Amino acid sequence: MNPSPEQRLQALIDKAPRQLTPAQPLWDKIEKRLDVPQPSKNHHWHQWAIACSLLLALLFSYRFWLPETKEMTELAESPSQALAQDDLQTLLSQIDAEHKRQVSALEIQAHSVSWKHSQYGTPLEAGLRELREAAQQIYRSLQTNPTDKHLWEIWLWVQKRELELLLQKQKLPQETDIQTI
Amino acid sequence: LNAQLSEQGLTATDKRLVALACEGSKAAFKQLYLRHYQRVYALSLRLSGQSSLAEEITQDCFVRLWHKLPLYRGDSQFSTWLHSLCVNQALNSINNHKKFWARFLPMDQHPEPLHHDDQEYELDGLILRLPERARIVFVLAAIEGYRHQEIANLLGISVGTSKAQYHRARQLLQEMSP
Repeated sequence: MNPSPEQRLQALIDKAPRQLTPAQPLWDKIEKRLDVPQPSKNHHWHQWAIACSLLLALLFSYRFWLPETKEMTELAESPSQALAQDDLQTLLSQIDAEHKRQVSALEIQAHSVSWKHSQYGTPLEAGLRELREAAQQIYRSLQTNPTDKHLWEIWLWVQKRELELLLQKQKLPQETDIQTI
Repeated sequence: LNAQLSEQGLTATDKRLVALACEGSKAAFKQLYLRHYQRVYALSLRLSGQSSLAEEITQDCFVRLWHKLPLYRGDSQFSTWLHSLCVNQALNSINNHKKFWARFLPMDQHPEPLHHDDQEYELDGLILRLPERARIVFVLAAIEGYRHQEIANLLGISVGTSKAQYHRARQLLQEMSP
């Protein structure tokens, strides 16, 4: 008599091996990682503090910009429109400079904790490249049309995403840890 | 190391190796690795469903073990303690892996073929084709002997959900089985 599907499955479970062997030896890679200090809880707090600071800075930039926009909208309808355009251009440059400073600080921090390129980082790198290209195009459009609120919102969002990706990138394992993948 | 221990008339038990590894002996830690890595890899592979991720989890698990060894007090079997550490590591890694790649890649994963013709590995070939949550619950319940309450606590789901996923997995496996 043929076993029922339930019995057959139970037989498979019963004879499933307790141990399996990976396709390649893992010890050498493990041994290399043993002396690398584990990130402490304080380190996590440090990263969160940096992330929060960056978000606050962005939020502050955004809040700082809002009254300017309102003021500019009013001014745009007045004869002094040219002056408002100049103010917005200045603001645009200031936010761009501040963002570049934040990106630079993050990249310096990444190097200081011995972050290395890894194949995990490849899609992340591609994402960052695309974001930066998009940010450049939006920035150029904003320079010619600084009163476009939608462009401003997209630009600030793209900047925020870039910072998030950079923070994410710092958490990637080192290349030596993932050579087998 | 084994020869050294034999000279001292000692059997290199897990606890002895743990004690030596806690003092910084990588040779003792390697012995622990050699004793347990296949068990850890089997668990990691079945839970993750991907050999590359299972290798990563196995590495992470032993690196974590190295740093956590001083916390092992010997109240339970070392293998039981390691098993628990490995399950937690695997579940964390699977979640992190999923979150990370979900930003860049479509999540419809295709199961990797298991390169074993032996009937012994038939179940593993089928497990890899299960949906992720059903696979994890099935592996923990059917192969690792966890109770549904324990699985529910580990995965942050209800006991009823765990049981439902388990029965779903069994049903799917029966349908897949030739």
